Amino acid sequence: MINLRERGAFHIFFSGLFKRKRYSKYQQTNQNVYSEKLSSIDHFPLYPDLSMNIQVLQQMFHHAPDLVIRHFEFAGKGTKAVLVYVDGLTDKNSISNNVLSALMQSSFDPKKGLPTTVGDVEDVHSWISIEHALFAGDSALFIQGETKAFLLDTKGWPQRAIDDPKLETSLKGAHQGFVETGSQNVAMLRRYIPNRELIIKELTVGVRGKSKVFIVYLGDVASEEVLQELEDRIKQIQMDVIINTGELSELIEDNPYSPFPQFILTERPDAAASQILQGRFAVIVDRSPSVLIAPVTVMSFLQSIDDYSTRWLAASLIRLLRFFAFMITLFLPSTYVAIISYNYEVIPLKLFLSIAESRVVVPFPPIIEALLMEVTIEMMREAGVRLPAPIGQTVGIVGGIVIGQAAVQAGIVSNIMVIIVSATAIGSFIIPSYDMGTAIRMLRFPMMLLAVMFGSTGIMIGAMTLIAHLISLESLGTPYASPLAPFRFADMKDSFIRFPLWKMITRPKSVRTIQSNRQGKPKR
Amino acid sequence: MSRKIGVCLLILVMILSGCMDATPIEEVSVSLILGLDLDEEDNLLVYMSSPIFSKEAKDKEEVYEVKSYTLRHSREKFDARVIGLTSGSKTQLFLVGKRLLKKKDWFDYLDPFFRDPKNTVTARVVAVDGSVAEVIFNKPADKPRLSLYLTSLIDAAAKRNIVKETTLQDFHSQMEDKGRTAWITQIKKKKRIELTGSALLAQSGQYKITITPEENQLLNILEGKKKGDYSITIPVSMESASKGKPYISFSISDLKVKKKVKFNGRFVFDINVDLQISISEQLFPFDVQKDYAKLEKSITNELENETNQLIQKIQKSQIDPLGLGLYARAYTYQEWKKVEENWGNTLAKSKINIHVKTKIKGIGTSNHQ
Repeated sequence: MINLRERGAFHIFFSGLFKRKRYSKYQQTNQNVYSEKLSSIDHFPLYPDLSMNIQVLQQMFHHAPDLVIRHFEFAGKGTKAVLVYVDGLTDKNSISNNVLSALMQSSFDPKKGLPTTVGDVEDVHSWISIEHALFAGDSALFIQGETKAFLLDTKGWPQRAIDDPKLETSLKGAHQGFVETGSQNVAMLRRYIPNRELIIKELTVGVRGKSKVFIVYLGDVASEEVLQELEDRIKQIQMDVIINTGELSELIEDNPYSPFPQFILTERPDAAASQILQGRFAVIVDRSPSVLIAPVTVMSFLQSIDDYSTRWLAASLIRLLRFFAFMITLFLPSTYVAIISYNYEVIPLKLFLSIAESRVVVPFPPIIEALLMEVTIEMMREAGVRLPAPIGQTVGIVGGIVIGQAAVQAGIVSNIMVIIVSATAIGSFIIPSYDMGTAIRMLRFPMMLLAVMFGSTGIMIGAMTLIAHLISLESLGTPYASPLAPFRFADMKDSFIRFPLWKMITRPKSVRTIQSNRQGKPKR
Repeated sequence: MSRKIGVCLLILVMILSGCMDATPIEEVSVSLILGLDLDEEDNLLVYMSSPIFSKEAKDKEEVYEVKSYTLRHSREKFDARVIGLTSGSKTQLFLVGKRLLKKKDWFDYLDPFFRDPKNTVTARVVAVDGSVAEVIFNKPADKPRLSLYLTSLIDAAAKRNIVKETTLQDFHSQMEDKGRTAWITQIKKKKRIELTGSALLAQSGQYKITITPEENQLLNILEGKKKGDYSITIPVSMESASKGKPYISFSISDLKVKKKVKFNGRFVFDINVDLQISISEQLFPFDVQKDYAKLEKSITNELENETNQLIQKIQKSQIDPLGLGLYARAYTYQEWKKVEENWGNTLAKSKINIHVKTKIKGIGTSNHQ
């Protein structure tokens, strides 16, 4: 009776009844205020008179010391002009060599176009596009007598060099990670898939700061339906600014109340390219170094790019090890708590005696002991992540001494518990995806509570609830637990065991690709 | 709305159900050894030995003896004495004193082990030649906890086939089945604790005879048990043997036993034993490679002789540890049905023929000439 009610409630808690409510009222009001202001500026036309234009500009960009307004005259007739750009977002070399020096040495003829050596030149007629372009690093050129402005591509903002991916290290993969510039990230993907079917769809997200968002996919492979869904969801977003891909991912998730991540965020171009080749979509958000991969299955979180460059037997073994670690992280502490509080019959006698001997000095019940240790290790992990590397090591050493030695000697925790907790922590770090690792690390706490309340029955209840939840989850409308439920035999080739590459001819069915075979059937 | 109800329900269930009967492992007093015996006035004595985990305690175990009416009744008495909650879920050994063994129907006392699923049925049933107190209060200084020590002693001996290891579950089926009788380990406290072979019980559970470790090996062979090692030493009666010490030892590498039964006025059993042996010790000059047939014949004779003696001993006691009754029931049911209530007696009157075939498969790495 209790079990039934329990399970029902949990199911409700996790899935069905939490409906999607994505955008808060706060964001809506903000947007309204801003758009009113926008439209008021948009009433102004672009004047033929330079000084009027400058007045409008100064009204628009008050308190913007980095806005540079440069007056100059063309050679020849001496037409007056003003070049406007934001200092810091532009390439100074390009401005002085390709724009200013070129313009000042030639005369202006409205019929011929601009005598500049900049690659991309665009005419615009509205102040809003000028504003966006200036903040994107373009410079705007106003010329006396013209009712339009010219936007010149002089982008050149502070950038980081392309570097090793920090979060996802790999042994044999490339040593290039995505950077904060969207166009560079797109270029990196192009290098992996130099094919004209590689389609890059550009969208903008954000009301205050327009972020460019690129959806990258293979046009002749990826599913139209899924693309439509992805686009719709991205277009619906009405945030001020998207700072990171993580925010985008939270806003377009299928089930934001689920503990499980429903998209992969990767900073590896090779991993992203490999996913695109399987028929998935990569979403690049400008200004963010992580790229979102969708749709994914729960299996994808346990795959690593190294698996494909390692020999398949070894790779399969490592993959099985990951699944084992997944289970360990999720169930080991709770199973231990359940066994030593309720079901001690199942422990072999010698283990029973050694557990009891180490437990007898501990003044706390098993669950308190377990929570104490698990919370300590979570704190240590978090401290280690946030601190700079040299101090982070100190945390490791101090923590190691505290939980490894002192706590046991002081009789606060038992030896066995230290082993359980460290096995759990190590297990969670084996999982290649940080998000998935975090999810299951979090889930082990409710599992432990269930274990202490209902013993092994509680663990079963928890496991069943999780399975039910995983089955009900979707990623962009495709089943999340895919090769297992719905069971797809062909997809199993790249799940628990990685089959040899020449055996994996088809793309994953869960992605609903148009072309199911990978190009040029590899023959052996 | 229903979401909120769901969450409230969840919280309520968590609080209300309150399964707070969890008992941490160290607060349980598990009776690793349980003993049953009778005192001089035939009162039931129950013994219990449970481990102590505290480092402050000097002894590793606490052992108690209580007088009680039944096994379950003794639990309250133990609870009044031991440190934690008594539990029979990890019992390793079940000792039965000789005095109790000689009574009929002592098996009835074991009822809680088969009724209450929290109790284990994998405890080993051990007959104590003497009183249980002698064994259970023993604290050998050079050994681990008595329970661990006795358990591994019996397990190891059973691997060598010198005693029969019988768990409570096996014992239950041996006792309930009319076609066979029980066969359990026997232990004795001499200077130290020693395994003295196996005790054979009657259908009623009453003690009948003790067989030595050597006889236990033979009985295991007749039963057809392949697991574990056999190391058999027998005298050989050959000309050449008298020149040295006339003993030969061998191990059994393969063993096939076929039992057949027919009824012609009385039950006739044929037990065909096919042995493949390798010699592990030979203390007299003899060329086995040349004259192996002679040696095989001699061993066969000796084995047949010894097993026949053993069978006669068993028949005389009117017991059936081999389970020949099972064969009688399977193949000659009509005749069996008439005598099933009195099987021991019937078996004593039956004819049991043992035919041994021996083949020497190995003589080791040196051939002593």
